[in-house]
Order: sequence, then C-alpha cells, then structure tokens
Amino acid sequence: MTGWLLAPVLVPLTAAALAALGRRSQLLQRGLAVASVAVVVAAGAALLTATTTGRIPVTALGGWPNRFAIVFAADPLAALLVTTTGVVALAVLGAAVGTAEDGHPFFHPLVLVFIAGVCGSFLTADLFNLFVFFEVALTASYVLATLAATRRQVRAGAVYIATNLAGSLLLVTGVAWTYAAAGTVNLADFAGGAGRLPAVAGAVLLVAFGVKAAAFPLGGWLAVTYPDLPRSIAALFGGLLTTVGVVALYRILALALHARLRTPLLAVATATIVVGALAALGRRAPDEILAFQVIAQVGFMILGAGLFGPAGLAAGVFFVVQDMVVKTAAFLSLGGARDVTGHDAGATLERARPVLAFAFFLVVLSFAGLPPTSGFVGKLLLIRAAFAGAQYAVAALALVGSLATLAALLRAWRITFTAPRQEAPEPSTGPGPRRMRIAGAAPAATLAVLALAVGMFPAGLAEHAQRSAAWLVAPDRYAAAVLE
Amino acid sequence: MGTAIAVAALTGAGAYLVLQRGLVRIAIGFALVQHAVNLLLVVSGGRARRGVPVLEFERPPADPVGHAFALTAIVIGLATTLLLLALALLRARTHAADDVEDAP
Repeated sequence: MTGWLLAPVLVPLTAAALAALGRRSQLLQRGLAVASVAVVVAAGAALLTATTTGRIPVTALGGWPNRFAIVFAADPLAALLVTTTGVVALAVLGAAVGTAEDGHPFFHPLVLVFIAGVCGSFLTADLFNLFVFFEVALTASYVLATLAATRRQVRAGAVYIATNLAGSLLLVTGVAWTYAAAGTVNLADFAGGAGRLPAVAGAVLLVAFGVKAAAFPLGGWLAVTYPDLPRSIAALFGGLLTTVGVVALYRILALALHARLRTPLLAVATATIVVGALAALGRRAPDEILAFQVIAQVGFMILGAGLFGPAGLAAGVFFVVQDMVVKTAAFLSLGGARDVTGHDAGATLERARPVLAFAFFLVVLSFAGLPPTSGFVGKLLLIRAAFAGAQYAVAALALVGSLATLAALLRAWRITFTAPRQEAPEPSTGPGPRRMRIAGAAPAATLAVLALAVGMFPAGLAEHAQRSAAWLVAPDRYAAAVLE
Repeated sequence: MGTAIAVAALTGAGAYLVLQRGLVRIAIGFALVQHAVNLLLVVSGGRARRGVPVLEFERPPADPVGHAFALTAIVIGLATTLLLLALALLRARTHAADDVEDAP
C-alpha cells in the first residue's frame, strides 16, 4: 500500500524530470505524461478501495516514529481527490496533445510537476509539507500561466503570481506561529484539541487558504488570470487549482478549528457565491463569464465546510469532486469553440460542432444546478444540509446565486454557440481540421457525460462522500491512524 | 526582541515595496518579506529558551526543525524571486517601462 500512497507524488515528479531531459522527443514526453497520470488514477483507485475497509493507508518517510516523520495518509477524502485529479488531468492531456497545445518543450514537465504538487497536498499529513506541496504546484502554475509570454499573459501573470505569493507567505507565517505555539506541525496532533492550534495561527492559515481558493474578497486574481490562458492550461487550473485551497481549508477546519469559525465561513461562502454570480452577469466575454462562475462555485465548495456536520461535509465533498470534473469540461468545451477551423462562415457553432455544444450545455446545467446533472445533486445536498442546520438565509442566497449563474452562462452559451460566426475558416496549421475537431470535443464531452452519469446515478459518489465526511468529523480516528 | 524588530522592519519595508508599481520593486519587496518569514521560522524553534548546539551545554540545544523549515523556505523563496525577476525581464522586452498595468 505504501507504494500506491507515494506513487501519485513520486511518479509524476520522476516523469517530469525524464520529460524535461527528453524534450527533443515530443512522443517520449507525451508517453511519459499520459503513462504517469494513468498511474495516478490507478493509485487513487487502489487507495479508494483500501479506505472502504475502515482503515486508511499511512506511511512515514525516513523510518522515524510517526510523530516525528513526514507522514503521508490517504483518508477517503484524499483518495477520492487523487482519483479525480488523475481523471481530470488525463482529459486535459488528451485535449492538449490532440490540439497540439503542448508544443512548448516544458509544457509536459510543468503539468506533471503541477499534478505531483496537487496530489501531495491532498495526501500529506504535515502542515509544513502541505505548504511545500502548495508551492510545488503553484510554482509550476506560475510558469504555465505565463508560458506563451504574450503581453496580456505577462500582465495577468504578474497579478496572479503577486497575489498567490502573498498568500504563500501568509501560509508559512501561520506554519511558523503554529510550530512556535504547539511545537508540532503534524496535522494529527491538532485533532480534536482546538487548543493545540492557536487561534491567531489558525486564522492566518485560513486566510492563506482563502487566497488560494479564490474566496471573496481574495479571489480577484482568478478573474484576471483565467481568460488569457490557453484552453488546456485553463482547464487544468479550473479543475485543480482552487480545489487545493478548498480542501486544505476542509482539513484544517475539521481537525482543529470547527466550532468557532462556522459563522464567518458561511458568510464568506455566501458572499463568494453571490458576488461571483453577479459579477459574471455583468460580463460579456464568455471567458470572463466562466472565470467569475468558477469563483461562484468556490463559494458552494466552502459552503459545505461552513455547514459542517456529517451532512454538510458530505454534501461539500460531493460538490467539490463533481465540480472538478464540470469545471474542467467547461474550460475544455469553451476553449474548443475558439478553434474556428473546419466550418463555414455564417453558420452557427451549434450546428458546426454539435458535440462541443452539447458538452457545454451540460456544463451550463450543472453549474446552475439543474437536473439531471451532478451539479443538481451537489447543490440539493448542500441546500438540504443548510435547511437541516436552519441556515435559511444562506440557502436562499445560494439559490439566488444559482439563478444568476444560469442567466450569465446562458448568455455565454448564446454568444459562443448560437450567434452566426462572421470569420471565414482559417487555414489550419498543425493537426488537420478533423483531428482537431475530435480532439477538441472528445475530452470535454467525456467529462460532461461523466458528470451527467454522476448526476443520474449519484449513489456511488455519495457513499464515498459520506465516508470522507465520517472521517472528517471524527479527527481522533485520523489522528490515531496517523500516529499509530 | 532584536529578532522581533528585524522581522517588523523587513515586513514593513517589503510591504511598502510590494505596493509599488514596478515589477522589480515588487520582486525585491517579496524577497524582503520572505526573509522576515525565514527569521520567524528560525525563531519558531524557541530561540529565546534554548542554547547554541554543540558549544553550549547548560541549556537544551536549539530545535533543528525550525532551521530545517527555514532552509526549505529559503530555497522556495529563491525560486519565486527568480521567477518574478524573469517575468520583469519578459515585460521589459514587450513593454516600454517596468510598470504594472491596470487589470483589464
């Protein structure tokens, strides 16, 4: 089991180094990238199976006793997220390879480092290690965000890097204060005893996670950065980047801080939903609408943490996992609409690219929380948990936000797919138009259909989400397993 | 006390520079704040309560974990500072002046 536990970090990192060395051969790079991400999926599935037995795989590096070693632990939440990360990354790689967006010699190495950092941040049971894996993922993302080095990308990249660097410094300050006060950074040591993690350090950590998660009022960087990214990179960030911050928030909150922070978190979640949805309503460019929708979805993710309790956390975990898939599908399908090759001027994109249009339509339904998509189930569970906790105002505002989301995304849909295109088909460079069309649409459609399937048969994911929540609300169990 | 003043001064100077418009200044500002945080990490091992390792035997030796944290943070800080400076260089090639433009 130790091998599977470390594979999601070590395999992509090793493959990244090999791909960087072998950057003359694109075939080698592509093979390494796809193979190592497939290993991540397999490892995630193996960990997920292992957690159903009621025990969690734990490994301590360096042979020290667990209390002093750097511990990796795969509770059901981590296993679920690693699996989803792998699936999402596979789809993104498929789109990038098929449409030849991976032309830069460091594209694959950077994507692999990013995935290793994301998986590491899910699996680690050590606060300082969490910071390190955040930095691994973020540093790769800084370079990916400015890889094309266009004027707009450099301008947006400066905002993105500066904001997240400030967040990282806050995070490491919080780690220093935690260590100074508690004498430990092992997450298990904070379990249940809210006194072990000092309130000031905890608050600083939560603000830092808020920056990474793009929660209101710290999420402005996301709306500036995302519209200028190439399709595959936007899809990768959209699916994974904000999730990392939200999941860290879930973990710290569940382990150490729950009671005191529920009300402020609910306020932040509701504000993020409403502000993100309303800001999207005021935008005209589809890319910008989608960027603000991502912020609104982050609000729903945090809502699960704010509601807490087994029901709230299970709803939150369900929402986070399905949202990773839906957001990636959103950026892939909207990005696919940018390639105007292979259809006549004057035709609508809906007719020229029915698969892409169908994928984006499913995404719109899921973002808005309409049946039969996975977003509907996620929001239903969240709203039900809110009613059960007598948070009626929060539930009402979340529903209003969903309505604004629907209106904004329908406009994005209309502008992109049903308005007649003026431009003539460009002479295609690189892959042929047919291959381009299939590669642009297939990964997006696969993910969208996956989200639809989860929405129609939600029992499997709901069961895993409940198991994750059961471990989150019983931090003593996690602590016992990690320190054993 | 001396460490507290040093952390405050570094953070203050860094925050001032980060809020400037030039990207090189922002990079230097972040480097300063990073050094403040590194100091904080070293101190988190309890410098005041503990003695110098190897040379001093009366008090328990300094906690090495804080130093290990600081070493890791220094490496990460170096990488991010370099990245920001590289971005400044990119901008200098595509823009006339080193100035953060308003977001679109």
